[in-house]
Amino acid sequence: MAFPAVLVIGGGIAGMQAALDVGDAGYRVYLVERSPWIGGHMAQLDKTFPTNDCAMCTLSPRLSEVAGHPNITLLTTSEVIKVEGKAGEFKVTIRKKPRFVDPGKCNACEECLNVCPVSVPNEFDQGLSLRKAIYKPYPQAIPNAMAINESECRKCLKCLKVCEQKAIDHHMKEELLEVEVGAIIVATGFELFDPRKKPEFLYGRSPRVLTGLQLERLMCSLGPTGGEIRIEGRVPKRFVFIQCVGSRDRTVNHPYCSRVCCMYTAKQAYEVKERIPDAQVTICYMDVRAYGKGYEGLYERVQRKGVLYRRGIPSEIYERDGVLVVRGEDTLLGEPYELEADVIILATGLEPSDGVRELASVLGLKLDEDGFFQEMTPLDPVLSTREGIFLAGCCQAPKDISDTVAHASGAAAKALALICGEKK
Amino acid sequence: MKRGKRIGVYICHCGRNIAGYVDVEELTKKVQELKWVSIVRQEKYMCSEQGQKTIKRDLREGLVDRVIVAACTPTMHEKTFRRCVSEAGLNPFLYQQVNIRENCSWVTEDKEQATEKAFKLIKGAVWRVRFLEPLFQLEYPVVPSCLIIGGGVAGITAALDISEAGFRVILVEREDQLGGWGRRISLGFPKLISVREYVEDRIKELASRPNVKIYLKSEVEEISGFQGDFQVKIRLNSGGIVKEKVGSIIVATGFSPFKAELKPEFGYRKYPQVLTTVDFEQLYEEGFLEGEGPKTVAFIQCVGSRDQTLGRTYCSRVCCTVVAKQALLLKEKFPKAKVYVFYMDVRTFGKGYEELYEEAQRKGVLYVRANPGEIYPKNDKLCIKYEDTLLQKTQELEVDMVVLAVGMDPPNGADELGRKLSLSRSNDGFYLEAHPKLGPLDTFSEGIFLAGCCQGPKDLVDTIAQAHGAASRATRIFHAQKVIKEPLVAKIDQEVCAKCRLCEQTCNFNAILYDERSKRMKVIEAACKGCGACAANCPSGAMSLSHFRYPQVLPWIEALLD
Repeated sequence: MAFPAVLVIGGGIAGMQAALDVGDAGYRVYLVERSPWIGGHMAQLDKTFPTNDCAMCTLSPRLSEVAGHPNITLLTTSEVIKVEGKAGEFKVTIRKKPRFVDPGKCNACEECLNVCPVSVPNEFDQGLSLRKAIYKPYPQAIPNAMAINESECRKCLKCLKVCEQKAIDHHMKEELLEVEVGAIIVATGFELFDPRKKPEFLYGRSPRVLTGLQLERLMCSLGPTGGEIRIEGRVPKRFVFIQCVGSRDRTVNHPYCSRVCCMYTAKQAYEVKERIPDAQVTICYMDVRAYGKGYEGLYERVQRKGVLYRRGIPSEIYERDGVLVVRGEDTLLGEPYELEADVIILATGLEPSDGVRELASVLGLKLDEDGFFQEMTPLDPVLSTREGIFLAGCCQAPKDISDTVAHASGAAAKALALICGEKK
Repeated sequence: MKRGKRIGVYICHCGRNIAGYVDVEELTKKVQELKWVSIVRQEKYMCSEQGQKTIKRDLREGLVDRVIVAACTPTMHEKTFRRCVSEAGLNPFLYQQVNIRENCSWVTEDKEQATEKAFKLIKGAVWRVRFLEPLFQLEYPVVPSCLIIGGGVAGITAALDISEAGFRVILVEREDQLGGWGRRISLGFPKLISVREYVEDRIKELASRPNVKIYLKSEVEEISGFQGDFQVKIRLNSGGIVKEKVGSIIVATGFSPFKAELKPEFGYRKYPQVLTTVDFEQLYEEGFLEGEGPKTVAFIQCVGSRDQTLGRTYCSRVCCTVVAKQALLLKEKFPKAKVYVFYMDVRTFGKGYEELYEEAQRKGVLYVRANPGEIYPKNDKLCIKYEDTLLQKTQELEVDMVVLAVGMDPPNGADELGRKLSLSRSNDGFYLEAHPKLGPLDTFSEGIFLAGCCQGPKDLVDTIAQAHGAASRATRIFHAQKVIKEPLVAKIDQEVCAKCRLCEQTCNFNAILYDERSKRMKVIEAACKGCGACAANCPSGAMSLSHFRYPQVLPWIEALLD
């Protein structure tokens, strides 16, 4: 008989959906997340396409649902380091790293933030703000507790003194946990392409060249500017978006389409026009891939708002008298052009998340040539190359939120069938 | 019932979403002055753990006996806060949510008006919650069987998962065999493997499952009941009717290809050399391309997609990759043939699809960004007139064969079946999902789920993923062995009821009937949707809707009009 429990690796929207489906069915779920909080990339988004709904508003009920679910055991700051056994009877070893804050005691009063002397770039804001070594990325984060980054902490212990809850313990040690599960769902998501690998776009050298996710943080009310699009203190007027940065590009070894960038760019362009009505917005593209339900409609609305779509990916960006200039060829007009811009947004593509190689070897799974998890048969995206292990979301290939959610429920169905099928 | 005396009002900033337009300080002050309000608090995000802890603390310390949260729409967070108050010992139905975001801050730029309206809405809630009564969730048993409508790839995939989990499946297919379009596809993409074999293997597997009942050449005639206990009448080919009981339903009725005749300028059915991508699949299977083959072939994309003139503004999602595959197959078979693809945007977005598109180009398929205007015969060939949008020139091309990449329409009968199941449809005619992001498989009809193209065009891979997903959604209640339902149902005061039976006629859900034995009207709570129509129609006032009884609703309205 199979162990009546499921391990879900990754606490983004895919992992949460899979965990909820299995948990609702009445089975134990171990949800393992390597960062101190669940939520994944969706938590960083301001809005979601094609309806431009507030991302946090749809995500946060899910976060609370996972947090309060009687069948879900949430293991943050944790990683899977060993898997033994076979489908139906996996023995899994999990390394739980110290958080240095007891989430049962911490009430996120944030007093510790006032005394921590360390300031480092805030990865949640994509480096556009600073955070302390003890921190929580956003108010709705689950678990609702601070965490200390060990490598940044100077052990000054000031936070310890102000913590009324006595939640902080700098001596916490790493733990090893063993769990028995019948099935495993991999939902490790993605990472964004690093646009420094395309030096012609000046990313990292000009503060006015941003990634799509950085713009997302600037537009978010919880972001570094409180939701105002401001760069170097000014509200930019001339926006140029460049699509397919790190997608459909063999020169950087990313031949595939990242599936979301066309639409997140359309959404962002729409929002820019909404907030800065006199902004001039240009989107440089190859093909507009508005393929999903309601996407073509958004693409049309964006154009009606006065956003200019220009076919052809620019060849370079350079600075002329302190002004950014985009140089490219308009492939519809068959003409070269130069375009001045106050801000340039690079629609960076998706790549496999950091550490998938190690995880693949722990799980005994194969990766495809792009580094995503490979399927047993190319027609079924849920089945991994090993029996009893299922794939959910972007770890299999880039996909948008709707497709991720459907895919994750699919992984849950296979896991459920495996753990309860034999019993009946 | 004891009336509430100490009402706690919790105002959410929702970041800038509310606080940007509603003057929260002013609002707090005004609410504090309302009678029966004992506490008013604010929080940047009430839904955060921090916000919830505050409410719980006030309840545990006995500072409040009714809770109002003024925040976003209840569809977003009512559940969250109901759970929050019940964790602190308050009956969840003594909680009310006031929507000051969608109803106030998001609909005006006028801060004063937004604040005023927010105050009125809160005041209404304060007047109402005093009279709320504790209610308890209802629970019903579940029939652990699933009806799947449609025996294509989506239906088969879901059926396999559900039967594997040990539950019964009733699969209804109107054609004389299973497989749907999966049987009519030659090779799949991105890997050119046989789809037919894959589908036939799945069908064989399904046939061997003892807990799967398949009805071929049959259609769903009528559906009644509710989540956990649906009664289904299936019309068989013989004309006879079979009755089945199921706990949940998956709709997997697929799509219909766009009828290319509706674009008469392309001459489909007028010129034999004009095919559709659907014809191509069939002819390829039959080995039609023997001998020399065509010298010049043109594929035309987006026939019946992204086309305002046809009322089909949506993208059909598969055609670009289908064409890349077919062009490649053609080129492999006839390397000397010239193959053109006329396109608007090439949307090869899925895993391995871009690579397939590249491969087609490498093999010599020529992509032309163009709008073809018409096709007409010239000599013994066909001539395509088009505007090349890259060269900005009108051009002509003589070809031996044209393949129209037809899009996907909702399946025949989508309308009728939608009515039987009370399913909404989106603008494009496909069935509407419960939430575009987080609920792509659920519908607004509880217990009914969507799989595959009936929800919107999609390729085989995404269809299979979605079908697995629908299986998970549809079986959650089977695993849990019960349905839990909100207690917002009609109640009869038998003392007052005159048995005029008007309620029975009013009810759209067959939830009220006259019980001959007890000589009383009876509400079938599991079927009641809580719409309140019976209560509004009851001449004697015997019928009421729990949680929305007159004494609870009237003060609310009074306060709003005050």
